[in-house]
Amino acid sequence: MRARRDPRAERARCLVPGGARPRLARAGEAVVGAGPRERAVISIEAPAFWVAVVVEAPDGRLDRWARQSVGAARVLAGAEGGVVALLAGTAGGDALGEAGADRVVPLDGGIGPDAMPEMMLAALAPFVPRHVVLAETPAGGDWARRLAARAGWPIQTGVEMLSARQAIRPVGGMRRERAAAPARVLTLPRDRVASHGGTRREGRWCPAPERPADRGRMRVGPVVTATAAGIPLAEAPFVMAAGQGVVDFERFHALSRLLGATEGASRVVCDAGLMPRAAQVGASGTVLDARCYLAFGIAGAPQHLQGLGKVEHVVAVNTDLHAAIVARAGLSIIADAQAVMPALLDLLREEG
Amino acid sequence: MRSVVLLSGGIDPVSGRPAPPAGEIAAIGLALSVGGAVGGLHAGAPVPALRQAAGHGLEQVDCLQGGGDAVAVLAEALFAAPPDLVLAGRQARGGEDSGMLPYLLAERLDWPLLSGVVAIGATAEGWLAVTIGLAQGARRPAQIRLPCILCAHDAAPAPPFVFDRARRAVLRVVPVTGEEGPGMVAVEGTERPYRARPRLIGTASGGGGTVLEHPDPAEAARVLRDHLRALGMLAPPREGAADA
Ligand SMILES: Cc1cc2nc3c(=O)[nH]c(=O)nc-3n(C[C@H](O)[C@H](O)[C@H](O)COP(=O)(O)OP(=O)(O)OC[C@H]3O[C@@H](n4cnc5c(N)ncnc54)[C@H](O)[C@@H]3O)c2cc1C
Ligand SMILES: Nc1ncnc2c1ncn2[C@@H]1O[C@H](COP(=O)(O)O)[C@@H](O)[C@H]1O
Repeated sequence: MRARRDPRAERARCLVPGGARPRLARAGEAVVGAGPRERAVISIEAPAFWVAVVVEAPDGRLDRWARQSVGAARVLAGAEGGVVALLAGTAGGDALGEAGADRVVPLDGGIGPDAMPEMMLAALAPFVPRHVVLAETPAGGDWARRLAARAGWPIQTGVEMLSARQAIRPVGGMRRERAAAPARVLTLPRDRVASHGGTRREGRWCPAPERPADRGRMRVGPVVTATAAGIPLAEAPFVMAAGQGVVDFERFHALSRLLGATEGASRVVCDAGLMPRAAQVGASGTVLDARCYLAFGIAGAPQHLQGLGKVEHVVAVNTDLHAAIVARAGLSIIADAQAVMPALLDLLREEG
Repeated sequence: MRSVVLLSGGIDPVSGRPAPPAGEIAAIGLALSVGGAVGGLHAGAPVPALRQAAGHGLEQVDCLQGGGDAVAVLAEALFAAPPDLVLAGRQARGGEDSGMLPYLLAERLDWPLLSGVVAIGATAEGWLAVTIGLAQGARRPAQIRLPCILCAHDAAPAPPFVFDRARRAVLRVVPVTGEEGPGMVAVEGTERPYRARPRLIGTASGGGGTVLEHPDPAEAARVLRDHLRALGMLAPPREGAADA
């Protein structure tokens, strides 16, 4: 599904014109290891300055938002700076290098929010970063403010436009905006800065900072994820929806249970009373915040697609190749929903 | 138990008219759920939005007028008569709107702080049980030592607005003399009317979509399963499961 790569052209771009010598950047970085089968990697020894980014990867994956935060750090680092990622969670240095990180410092996952600023400061100390970027997620936004308050650093929250020279954020109840030089700490909403599209960076692993002493002022328990059926539709990470093309609702419900997906529906299906009104996705229903939307027999009317504004991955099963949802989907299966649902059920049950 | 709710005043983003932010109304709801005395506290002059906030369940709002830095003024008032619990919204609406005030206050008072609180439970031996709301419906139980500062989740249940309560609420002006402190580290810059910028549109799974035309159902099921698994929406297969 990814655009096809052209390793020869990539390698050629990394060489000085007409020679077999790798291109050296001003900061002394070299593009190394671009053999015909290897991918080019930029590794950088001593950049002019560092920009830090705190990356959350609770389930071992970097989501789009996390990649965008690394992309924002790259924007601030420009050609001369290096990007160091503080990793809260688990993810490979490869994935972080791909996303644009030169260094990776793992943070202790089990640490509570009270000790987080100490831990971040310990991790940042060797780098003395010019900026620290965090995603404005529930956890990231909290850590950013704790860090700024503890260190006494200026902060810009919810930055909507970012360049190396300025950051713009709304103020005064979203009625005004302020453009200023990027502050020491910045938080980034979703989909405001593009993720890094350039050459892979090294993502070299660095030692973890020492775990700070706990101050004994709070105890935080484990995260309890909601059951798929119990999550409000607007908060659900995985939504499976039925449109007019679904007639076998028994199988539809069985499949959503097995997949652990929250159920949604198009308006026509709700109008017909086949699904509760609360399940309606779209302009006059719920706007989703899901990571994945699996649509069975949904045409993808504009009013319906409005409900998918923030959805990262759309998967469609539809008999019509020319349905609008197919244009929005990362994967489309042109087939009868009534045949695909039982086949998927059987396959998943077989796996146990 | 004595709780204080921090109120920022604020405006409605669409109309620009005075209105308390959702998070502050949620904070009032949390304070009321704890029971005991609940009062409002505002650093600044009495503004109409405070009366509207009070309509959600406060009898009195103290307005600390005359001070300089809001953090310093609030810290001094809370230090002089410490409540058990301080509640704040996630973010003000109408000023700097950075959500930093509670954090700076916690740092200055050296009190613990938790944010994203959706519910408050029981107290036992100086510890307060709370529930934190995370993205996508996830919850996290926590305990925090009193006294403390809690920032309400915007989605915490909001108590209803009662017009008569808003009308009768007392906005008490408390004159204070400003103490200069580090407080908010303001960011200089140029200000202008807000311009809405379109968000980047997410291309699902990076690039154009794959279309599978008329596969047989078993093939379709396999492709779907593998795709969902690659997206991390489906747990990895168990040991010994068929093809990968
Ligand atoms: C003011 C206004 C507001 C609206 N708000 C909303 C809203 O919030 N949400 C919303 O959803 N709609 C809304 N609508 C309605 C919207 O315009 C569409 O009518 C509706 O979304 C269509 O639903 P559908 O895709 O399920 O049905 P259809 O348009 O009938 O599409 C059914 C699809 O299923 C496919 N199909 C048929 N049989 C099969 C099969 N066996 N297997 C697989 N696929 C099959 C067909 O190819 C077709 O693409 C609104 C309309 C208006 C005017
Ligand atoms: N002037 C103020 N007086 C009292 N509380 C405030 C004031 N400003 C902000 N707050 C509280 O701090 C929260 C975050 O505000 P802010 O940091 O300004 O975005 C608000 O939701 C209020 O609960």
